[in-house]
Parts: sequence; C-alpha cells; structure tokens
Amino acid sequence: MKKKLVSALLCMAMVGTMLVGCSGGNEGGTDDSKSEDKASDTEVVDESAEVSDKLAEEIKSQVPDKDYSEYTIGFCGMTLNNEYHIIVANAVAQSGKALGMKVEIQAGAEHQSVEEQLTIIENYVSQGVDGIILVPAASEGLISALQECKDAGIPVINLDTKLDDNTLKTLGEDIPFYGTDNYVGGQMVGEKVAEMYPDGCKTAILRGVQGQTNDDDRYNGFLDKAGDVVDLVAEQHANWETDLGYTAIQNIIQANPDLQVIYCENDLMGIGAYQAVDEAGLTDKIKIFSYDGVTEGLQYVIDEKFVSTCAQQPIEMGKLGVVNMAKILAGDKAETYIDTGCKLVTIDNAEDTLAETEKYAAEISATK
Amino acid sequence: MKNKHNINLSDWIIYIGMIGIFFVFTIICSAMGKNFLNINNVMNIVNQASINAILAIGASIVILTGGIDLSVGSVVGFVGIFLAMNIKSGMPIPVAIILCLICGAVIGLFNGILISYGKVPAFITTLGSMQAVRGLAQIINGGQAVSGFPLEIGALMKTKFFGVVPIGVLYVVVFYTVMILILSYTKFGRGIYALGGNSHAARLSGIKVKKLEVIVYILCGMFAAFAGVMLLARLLYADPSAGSSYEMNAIAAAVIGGISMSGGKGKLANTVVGAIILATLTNGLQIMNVATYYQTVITGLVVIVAVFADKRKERKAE
Amino acid sequence: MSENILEMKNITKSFFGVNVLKDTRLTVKKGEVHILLGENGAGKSTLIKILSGAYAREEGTIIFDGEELSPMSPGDVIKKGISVIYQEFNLVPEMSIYENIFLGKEYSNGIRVDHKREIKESREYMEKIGLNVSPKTLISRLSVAKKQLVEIAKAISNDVKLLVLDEPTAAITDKETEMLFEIIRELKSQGIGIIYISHRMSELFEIGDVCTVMRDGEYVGTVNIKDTTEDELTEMMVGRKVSFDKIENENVDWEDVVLSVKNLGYKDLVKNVSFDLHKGEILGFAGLVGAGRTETAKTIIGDYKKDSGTVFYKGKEIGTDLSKNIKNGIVYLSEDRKDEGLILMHSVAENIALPNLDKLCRPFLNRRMERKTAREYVDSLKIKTFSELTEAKNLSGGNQQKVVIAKWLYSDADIYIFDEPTRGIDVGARDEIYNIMYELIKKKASIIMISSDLVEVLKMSDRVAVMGDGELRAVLDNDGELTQQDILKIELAEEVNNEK
Repeated sequence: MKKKLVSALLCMAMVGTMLVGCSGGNEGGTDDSKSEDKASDTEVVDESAEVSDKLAEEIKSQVPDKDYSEYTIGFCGMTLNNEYHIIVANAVAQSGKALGMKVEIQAGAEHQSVEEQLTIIENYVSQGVDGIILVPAASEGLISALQECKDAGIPVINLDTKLDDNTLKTLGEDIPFYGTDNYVGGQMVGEKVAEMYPDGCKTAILRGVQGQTNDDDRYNGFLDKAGDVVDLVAEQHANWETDLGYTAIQNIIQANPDLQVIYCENDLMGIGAYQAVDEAGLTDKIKIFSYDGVTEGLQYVIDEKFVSTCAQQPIEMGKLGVVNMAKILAGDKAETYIDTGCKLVTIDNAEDTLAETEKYAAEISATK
Repeated sequence: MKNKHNINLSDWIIYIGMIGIFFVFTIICSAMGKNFLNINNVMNIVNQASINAILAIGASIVILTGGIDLSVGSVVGFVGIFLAMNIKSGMPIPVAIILCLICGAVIGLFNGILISYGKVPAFITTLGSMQAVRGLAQIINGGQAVSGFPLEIGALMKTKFFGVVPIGVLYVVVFYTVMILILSYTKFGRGIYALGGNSHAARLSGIKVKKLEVIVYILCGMFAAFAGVMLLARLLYADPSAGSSYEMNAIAAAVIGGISMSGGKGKLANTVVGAIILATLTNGLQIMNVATYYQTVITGLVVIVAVFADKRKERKAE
Repeated sequence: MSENILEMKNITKSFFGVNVLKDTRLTVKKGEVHILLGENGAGKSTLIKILSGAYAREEGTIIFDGEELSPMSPGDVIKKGISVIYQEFNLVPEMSIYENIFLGKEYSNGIRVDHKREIKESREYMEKIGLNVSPKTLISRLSVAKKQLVEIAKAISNDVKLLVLDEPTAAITDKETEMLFEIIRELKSQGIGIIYISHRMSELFEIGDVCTVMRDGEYVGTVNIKDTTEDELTEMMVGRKVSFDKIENENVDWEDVVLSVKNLGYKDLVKNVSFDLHKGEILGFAGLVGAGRTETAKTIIGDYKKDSGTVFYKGKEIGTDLSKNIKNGIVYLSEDRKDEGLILMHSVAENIALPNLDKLCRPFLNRRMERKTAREYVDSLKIKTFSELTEAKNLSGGNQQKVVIAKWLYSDADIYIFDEPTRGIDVGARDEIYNIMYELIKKKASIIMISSDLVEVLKMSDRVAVMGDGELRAVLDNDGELTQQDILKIELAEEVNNEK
C-alpha cells in the first residue's frame, strides 16, 4: 500500500517535471522531439529541390548584385503543421536558394508555442546566422529572444503576424514587417456580410488562439464593418483547429437554431463548422464566411460550402522576406512595411485563385 | 452491510454529479432562453463524447493494470492521415479501416513489449511513442493535411438511427457493453484487475501477467485507432496535428469515472459517464456562450472535485 | 509494589459501527514486561494504535506516568515517552542509522545539521543495546533483527518510558531473539515499562512478567506469568484446549516420488539442491532466515528462472513456466501475504477465484459460483470476515492467511509449498491451518512446509530438510527422536562465520 503511494507520488512528480521540461523549452530537448523536428523539416521543405529559373531571375532582379553564398539565414516559423505556414516556409527556402544563401527552417510544433520559438531563435543566435526571418507564434512574449538578436547584431524580419507595438517599443527598434493587414481582411469579410444581410443576421464567430494579434485583428476588422448589422449571438475560441470548431458550432447551433451566419477566422475551423452545419441539415440556412484561402478553403468556396474566404499572399511574404534580408545584408535599407494585400475569394473568383495558388506553389516547387 | 453500502454510495456519486450538472445547466439555459435539455442536445452530447469515450476504454483498461498510455492522441492523428491517404488512393474503405486498426495494434504491441518485457516505465515508453507517432503522422504526408478523399467514410459517423440517434452512440454502447462483459466475466478481465491490484500476487496465482499487459496495450492502441477513424469520418478532413492532447481527455474521463490511478480498482461503466460529463460541460458552457478560457478552468475544477469525491470514501476508511 | 506507568481504562472503539474494542483495559507497571496476548482480531493492534495516537478513542481514559493523556497526535505521544515498534518498521531505508535515529529532531547549528554529534550520540545509544555496526550504515543494508535494534535505539534516544514491541521475534532467528531478550531485560532493569505482543508461548514464559489476554475486543483477564501455564493461557485466548503433539501421518506412500529435485541452482542463493518429495508426505524445510528456503521453492515453481539442475514432477521434467506449473498442480503459498499472496484491495471471493478462473469461466465467469465457493471456504475454514465480498485488506493476518490457503485448496493441487504458513498467526488459527494441511495429505497431496518455528516443523513434518547458506545440508527423518537441538546444530554450522 505504502509502496503504491510512493510510486504514485513519484509518477506525479515526474509528470510535473516532464511537463515543465516539455513546455519550458527544448534546449537540448528530448531526443525524440529533436529527431521528429528534423524529420518533418526535411520532408516538408525540400531544400534540395531545384529553383526555377524564373524565380531565380525574379528574386535576383530585386536585390543588389552580390554573392550571397556566404550567408545563412534562419527562418523561424509559427508551425509546419498547416498548408499556409508550409507555403511561407517554402517561399523563404526557395527564394533564399535562388540567391545561393543557406536557409535553415525551424518551427514550433504547435500554433501557440512561443517557448519553442524562443529556443529556436536562441539557437540561431548561438549558431551565428546572418539574419532571422520570423513568423511569431504570438505577438508578444518573444521580447527576450529579439533582444538577443539585437545585441548580437542579427537583423530580424517579421512576416505574416505582426509583433505588437509594445514589444517593439520595449525593444527600441523597428522590425520590418511584411504581411497582410488582418484588420483589413476582417473588414472585407464584414463588408461582404453587411452587403448580403442588410437587414441583419444572427451571427456566430469562431476565433483563433486568444491573445494573438491575428485573432484580434480579424475579429475587430469584421465587427468594424459588420458590427452594425449583425446580431452576434455566440463567439468561441476554437484555437484554429478543425475538431474544436466542429464541436463549438454543434453546440452553438443547439443554443441558436436560427443562426444565419458563421464567420470563421481560419479555413480549418471553417471546415469543422461546415461539417457540423451539414450534419444538422442547415446548409441552406446557415452561411459560412471563412478566412485564409488555403487550397482546401478555396475548394470549399468552389463547392459553395463557404460563401467566401479571405486569401492572403503567403508566397509573396516569403519572397519579400528574403529579398529585403538580402538588401540588409548587402548594406541597403529594407522596406519597413509592406502590405502584401489580401482579397476576398467568392464563387466568382475562387477557381482562378485556386489555379493561381497552385501555380505559385508549383513555381515555388512542390511541397511534397 | 456497511461495506456494501459504501460501495454503492461511491457508485452513485458520479451519477449524482452528472444529474447535478444537467440540472444546473438546464436551469441556467432555460433562464437564458436557450434549449439545453432536449433529446436532440442529449444526442449531441453523447455524440460529442463518443470519440473520447472510445479512447477512454483504452485509457481505463491500461490504468486498471497500473499503467498509462499517453500515445493515444498521436495514434488518432496518425490514423486519420493514414486512412485518408489510403482511401484517396482508391483502397476500399473496409480494408483501409482494418489496416488502421492493425497500425493501432502494432503501436500498442510496441508499447506493451517495452513496458512488460523491457521493464521501461509506461509513462516513459508512451511519452516517447506519443512523440514518435506524432512525427510519423507528419512525415507520411509531409506535414500537410489530407482532403479530397471519397466522402463515403463520413457515413461511419454521420448516419443516424430513427433520425435522432447518431451512430457514434452505437459504437459507444457496443464497445462498452463488450468490454464491461469482458472485464467482469472473463479470465482476461479478472487478470487486468489482478495485475493492477498486485502484480506479484497475480503472477504467483498463475496469471500470465506479461502477456496480459501486452494485450492490454494492443487493445488500447486499437481503440485509439478506431477513434481516429471516427474523427476522420466526422470531420472529413485529416490534419496531422489532430488528436493532440486527446490522451489527457481520455485519462480525465477514466479518472472522473473513478478508475484508480494506481490500478486494480474502478468500473468501466463509470468511465463512459466521465466522458459524458466532460462533453456536457463543453456543450453546456458553449450553449451559454461562456468565454473559452473559463470553460477550461471549470472543466479542470470538475476533474478535481470528481476525484476528491471519489477518494472521500478511502479517506473515511482510514 | 512498583508504581504504574500506564493505565488504560474503558477503552472503546468501533469501525463501521462494529465494536472492535469493548470496555478494554490495560495496566502496565514500571520495569515490567507485560505480555499482550490474544488471537488475531482480538483487538491488540487496535488497542496499541489507540495508545500510539494512530487511532482516536471513542471512550475511555489513558493515564501515563501519572498524567491523563488527552487524545493527541502520534508525534506528541512519542515526545511523552511512548514508543511503538511495529512489525513493519518505521525507518527510512535509504538513510543511515544515525539519520534515522535523529529523524525529526536533528541537531542543527543554525544552518547545517551537526552530523558529528548525531553520529557520536547514536553510537552511544547503539552500544547500550549491543548494536555494533557503523552509525553511517544504510538501513536497507541491515537485517530485520538489526533494523529492530535501530528502532529500539531510536526509542531510547526519545527518552522512552514505555516501549511497545509488536511481534518482535516474528521474522528473526532464535539467536537474534536471545539477543533481543537480553536488551529487553536491560531496559526493564532501567525501569522502562514494556508491552510485548507475541504468539510464541515459549517466549512468553521466558521474557514475560505479567500477561493480559484479550478476546474479541474484550478484556479477558490478567495473570502473573509464573502462576500460569501454557494451557491456561491458550484456554483464555481461544476458550478451548489446543494440542501440541506430533501428528501421525499414515498417508505417506514412500514408493511414490511426486517431485524430484536434482542439483537445482539459482544465482548464489540456491546451491546444488537435491531432494525427493513423496506422495502424502509433509517435508519440513528448516533453516535460518536467508538460508535459501524461499528461493528454492520459488525456483522450483519457476518464479525464479533456475540456472542449473532439473525438476521432475510425476516422473516428467518440468520447465520454468510459472503459470503452467501452477496449472499442473504445484502451488506456492507465499510467506508474504500482503505483497505476494493477496490482492488486498479486492474481495475475499475475488482472491479465492484468482488462481481458479479456468474452473469458473466456461467460457464466462460464473459469478454466482464464485461467491458460493468463496462462501463455502469462508465457512469451512472459519474465515472471520463480514462477508465474502469484504476486501481482503480489512481482514486480520490469520484470516488473510486462510484466504490464501482457500485460493489453493480450491485449485486442488498435488503439491503445496507452504512458506511460513503460521507466521504472525495466533495459536487457535494455527491449529486450524495444521488441520487443513492434514486434510490435504489425507487426500494424497504432498506438502513442503517452510518454517522457522521448529516446534511447528517437528509437529508436522515426516522428514525435515535443513538448509543453510543456500545449500541443503541434511534431510532428517522425524522419527520422534529428532529434537530442536539436532536441527539447530545443523542450521548454525558455519553460520558463526557469517555473523560479525
């Protein structure tokens, strides 16, 4: 009996240390996770792939003429678990290759893993990379890593998700940012909804991970344009995930059978939402507006499962990141802010957008 | 008499708890003018609980032997991708599902052999395989989600009987019935309890404890694989990160159901109630539109309260 | 007439509404060895636990050293000068002797512990009781007897006025027992009161002054040891007379060897052991603790994988597949009921069913049959339990042992290996266990009985195998002329060298 108790306690203590060990950062890391990271990297981002001449030309034409083969840049992605982020990573890898640079690709295992990103950046700094391109997992919380970069004189370029102003203020440095203004994207969706339902509609919103700027911007932008017309009956954070989106919408429909509009802040949650709506047999009554424009999302628009999705330009972001990093390395000034723009994809332009994305993807080399 | 009475009381606690939660939610929801207690939503809840409930069978039997399996969430993710890729490539659905179950069994076999013959603690073994299997899930399709496969697989979750009863409920009823019978009425079931209760004594009573332990992990892996099939059929979308932290939900269901973490004690029938309680909390709180992070807090507290209530009996006895 | 150190009066306690102590009393004088006697479940342990503060009393008063004690925590009780030494020791195995002695009352010079002083004082305490090892030795390296001495040293360091010893000789050898008695006499001469719980009649007469007998939670009586006899005490305990004569076994078939062990070896614990067991025979296995008897038994059944040798069962060689051997009818009843014999958290019925599931599952477990069978064994073996559904942990030691026996009786085996079948069991229950063994050989089963109780060995065995240091030193015929001294002599040979 006593032995059991002791072993149970030990076990609990172990769980404790394990959890701390896992979340507290991967310095050294467990062997398992390391090999896993590596495995997924090489699979996802095919570094040996040939860069198309067209891409090489395009990138070279934008940067000062110089031999970049001495440089190594580190890309720290949010995750490599979804298409959107894989495309960003690929764009960076291929564009870097076009200039003959070495590109290292690392990303957190999960969407919101700031700790892992801290470790990745710290490792880059200690390896002495020449520049870091970063897609932060959260707008805040990376300050210490960024400080290290600053101290080591390593330039940082921020893509996709903007670091928040406080972080930049604390750091006392402007970090170039190229990405979509999610607020504007949210506004586009909001306008569309306002246009379709001038007399108002019962609306539910599926939000991403609480605390990320993306989430706030997509939410506030939407309400800015649609806030006056919509009757917001429910909002839940489904953490960008399909299964959580599915369950949340099932429950929201239960509470609000007369729901008319669901706005999903990304396509993955949108897919889950559609399954729940479909199962409830309410596809005629409930319309889904999504966001992101990944291929599956575009396909859903073509199939009229989504009314619209808001497409971003991940490839453009990746290219701009490398081009401007090259400029910095060559001693030029980088652009401080570029809005890569986003467009609302509806049934009218979905097929074209899908074709375009696939073309881009082909140009950037297949991800598989 | 006294003893009997006590056992009954602890059996009741979980049902009282479940009814209590239903009662509270019904009152609050009706005050908010929302529908909570109707057949549709009850079916909703059970349907939402079904995947976790299936995983929790595996978690329960493993915990009953005094072990733990942290790899089930990763198996769910892996199986989803694997199944989606296979049926996309034209493999007949039944064959693909059987292949998935075999995968689950192989992962379980791997865990089981390391734990029983290799004497590696279950926690360590399955922590490792949790990560390794998650890695595999990402490798087989380059970390990408799979879609565009034949949608007939959806029938495995979207079928309804009599227009109301989702098929997920049927899986739960069938698997629980079979496993409850096995646990209470077979040598194998008794062996599981004996192994968790005192592995020495079980061994010296002629139970083949090592073989039994391996089989338990194989079963756990197969239930996880089946849960993975269910998840794919429900979402029609396979994401390599699917199922992450599902192992914790499964363990929580088992623990709420009163399965002793040190093994040897607990009723599988109560595990399903644990899974339903967890699903009810999410369902009810989302219907009330409670902010997501409060939901997490409330769910965590309920787990603690459930275990506290369950342990009250033991403390009293001491 | 010396003065009382302890006076417990009208002590009442109940669990789950059942009275386990009814108006019990106990009075101990200074410098007296007071024997507390009673069958298992008589309430001795409960009474002691109330004294030590582990249980709260419902009624009654405790007057210790002239002062009435209110209910208090075990820690406070120790500070008052009452130390209880249980069979399961209260020592931290991976700490040294001195650290254990000073656990919870470390000398500290502000920041760090004053190890030197602790070691020095520990050595003084240890010398007083003749424990001649380094105070820095880890507890886990010590034998049971030495652990006991450490407990006593710890008690002395706490300025003990009343020492309670719960079956101190259950797991130690006769020689060690002698040493322990020396220490007890020494403590007694210092005016320390001693409560001594034991079942071994011979010791009671050797060490005891006064004896209080309990039965079924009630006080039976207190007698002076020198004015009483074994028979009288036994009668007080069980209410009937118990026989100590050697049983006559007419069931042995000396022609029929059921088990033949040849040159068995396992690590350096079992060395080249060979013997035969006949049908209907009880073969006693004597030897000191650590002589390799348990290891030999476990190697035979396959729990330990043998390194060398062969075992023939009914003429056929058997392997090391434990569960197969059990199925074939060779069963082992462990000396360690709690760790190896029973699943304490499971019911009596489930425990009895465990080795017999093949019999009960056809193909599904017949639970009614399981209960019915358990009920029968509870009745026939007089297992004192509330019901067959009671968890095994709620039973007293003797009754737990009976459950273990019931498990294997039901399995209907051919060879029973009993390992210390009566350790920690009171006289009345002992006799019942002897009867069960006798019934078994009547049914032509064979028994190997490992026992450290030589009276028991001589009473039950047809032949006596004596082991020492992993070797089988002799197999003696118990022809009625064999004496304890004969066996002891063989047990102790060469043993002197090993004792430092």
